[in-house]
Amino acid sequence: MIKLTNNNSNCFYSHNYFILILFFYFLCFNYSYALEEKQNFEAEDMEVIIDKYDELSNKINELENKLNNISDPEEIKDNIDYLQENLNDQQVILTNVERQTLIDSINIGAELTSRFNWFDFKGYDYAPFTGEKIGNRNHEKVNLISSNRLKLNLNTSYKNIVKFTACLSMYKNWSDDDYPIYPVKNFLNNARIPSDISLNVERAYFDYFFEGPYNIPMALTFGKVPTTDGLPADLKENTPRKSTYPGLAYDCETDGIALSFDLKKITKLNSSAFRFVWLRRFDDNETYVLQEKVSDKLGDFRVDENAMDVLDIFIAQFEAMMPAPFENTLFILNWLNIPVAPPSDLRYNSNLKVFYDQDNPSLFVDIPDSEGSLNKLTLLFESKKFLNSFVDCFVHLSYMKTKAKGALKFMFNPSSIGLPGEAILARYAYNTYQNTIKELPALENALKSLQNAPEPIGLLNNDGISNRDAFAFHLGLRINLPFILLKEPKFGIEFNKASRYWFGINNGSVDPLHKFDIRGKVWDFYYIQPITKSFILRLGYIFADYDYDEGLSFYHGNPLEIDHEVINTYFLLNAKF
Amino acid sequence: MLRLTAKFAVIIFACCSFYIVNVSIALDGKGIYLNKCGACHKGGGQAKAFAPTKYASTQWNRFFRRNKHKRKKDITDIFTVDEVKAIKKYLCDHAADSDQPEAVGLR
Repeated sequence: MIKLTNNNSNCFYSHNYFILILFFYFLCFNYSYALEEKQNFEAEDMEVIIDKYDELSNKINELENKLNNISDPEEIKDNIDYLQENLNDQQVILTNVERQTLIDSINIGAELTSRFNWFDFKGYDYAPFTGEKIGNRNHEKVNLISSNRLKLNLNTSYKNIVKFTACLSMYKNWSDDDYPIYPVKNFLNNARIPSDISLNVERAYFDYFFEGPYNIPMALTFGKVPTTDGLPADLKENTPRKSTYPGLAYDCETDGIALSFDLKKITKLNSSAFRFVWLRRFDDNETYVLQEKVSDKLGDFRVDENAMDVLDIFIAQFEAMMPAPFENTLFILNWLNIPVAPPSDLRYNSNLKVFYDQDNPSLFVDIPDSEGSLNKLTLLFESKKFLNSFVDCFVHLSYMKTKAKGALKFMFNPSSIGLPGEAILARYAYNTYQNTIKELPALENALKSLQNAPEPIGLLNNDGISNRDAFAFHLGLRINLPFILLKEPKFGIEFNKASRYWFGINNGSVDPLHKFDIRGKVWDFYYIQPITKSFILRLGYIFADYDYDEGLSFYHGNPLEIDHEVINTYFLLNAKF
Repeated sequence: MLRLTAKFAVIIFACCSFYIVNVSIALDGKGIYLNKCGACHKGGGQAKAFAPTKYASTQWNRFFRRNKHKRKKDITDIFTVDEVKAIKKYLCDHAADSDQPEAVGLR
């Protein structure tokens, strides 16, 4: 109880009342504020709460529905079992497919080329073995010779240790019902010239990769080795490299063995390698010409003296990619050696068969052991995207030298018919004895006919003693037009020239003119138009100016001067898979 | 012969020249693959080295169509659309199922 005094009591009483008033005021204020807040909370949050309530109710309903719709756990288990069973089945199928894939390990690709040729020939005909012109200069046109060429490419490999590669091909002129025989079709070009619909083995070889001395990676290759489509044919054919050699060195089918050394560790140059190849040609005694057997011997174990002896060819090649800034340039140095060039077997020639007839003592063939030896050195620089430009280009040079040892001679033996003298070349028999046989007309006619006998057939000579030098060069470029709209077409120009005694060894080229065999000049233009990745068109124009003929064939015989010009215009379609 | 040669060259040049203007130029796919892809995809690099023969061309096409490179790293800012097209063309042209070079002893 507050005791109030008179003097101070008035102040005290007023002070207390003031506090009380403040208290009540505060109380009322808070109360009213609380009342107000309570009123606001209720107003807004009720709505929120109601909304939330509704939402939760909906969710609960949803969950309840879900709960009601959930399958029986047993059903879930059944579904899982079903899926597992399916998975097991797929596993079995996949295992079988994988196994079959591993068994069927050979990859097969196909390539088809249809080519349409127009030929324009200008030149003289010549009497055989004489170089004498016959008649007027001819101008002949052959229009639209069409051909199909099918290639089946097979390959497989095992762990980068062994690799098998093969190519079977059919090459045929449209609906042509005959085919060439020996010597046009021979061991150098069986699958490479138009023939019948047979599939021929163009190449089939096996590579075995291993580490040699000093851990140098090596490879042993054997079979029908890849020696056709010589570089730089990859530019014109628009393919990767398809041959071991440059085209000027060698472009024929061959069987042989090769040893390759990967020299990158030693030379520090990319793709540097040394390759040594031995090729061999063996002529058995089973030669048939027009179904007539030319040999009377049976079995490979018998010797046929008149058959062509074994031909061995040895090739050593160094190659590498050049160092920067020419890192896109391939360099190849190739040395080819034929140590013994055997003379040819000409029994297939109906005009010369009589010289091989053992029952005719007046005529015979003088066959040497060897026509001589031959060496050829070839250099190739081929650059793709030269200095990172759109141009591919190449320089291709070759030099050849022969050493003569003998020649195949068609002889007349005068003593066999009672005439004097030693055996002489049959082509000179008439001139030598024409006075002696004036009054023997039968003999005179027979000796006259011998004037058409060939001159001695040596290693690029007609005497068996002349050594020869020859050269050839081949230059060109291909412009890769970088126009996406045109699918990056390509335009190429090539020029090659060879001297008189040049021996191209190009019988296996699919080019109908075998331009690397031509002793003269050749211009070659082409335009490649890609349609898709697997399908291209090519338009081409080849102009060949022959200065000398091909002799008898291969390296046999002395090349004679001729005047021939051939233009080959062509269009081809090529598709590959 | 020279006249014919010149005519042939002029025709080809004219055909090509007609398309030179406003025609997109192909990029060097190999160069981009070696330099730009090779910046990461090389021995000891950020990513594993690979050769075009890693996949067949169908697989390369799927790889680019589905932009599978994005799983490991998004490179859309590093390569232009044309560069990607050029790389894809180069890889498909040299894929496992493409034509391969041949010579004795060549791997």
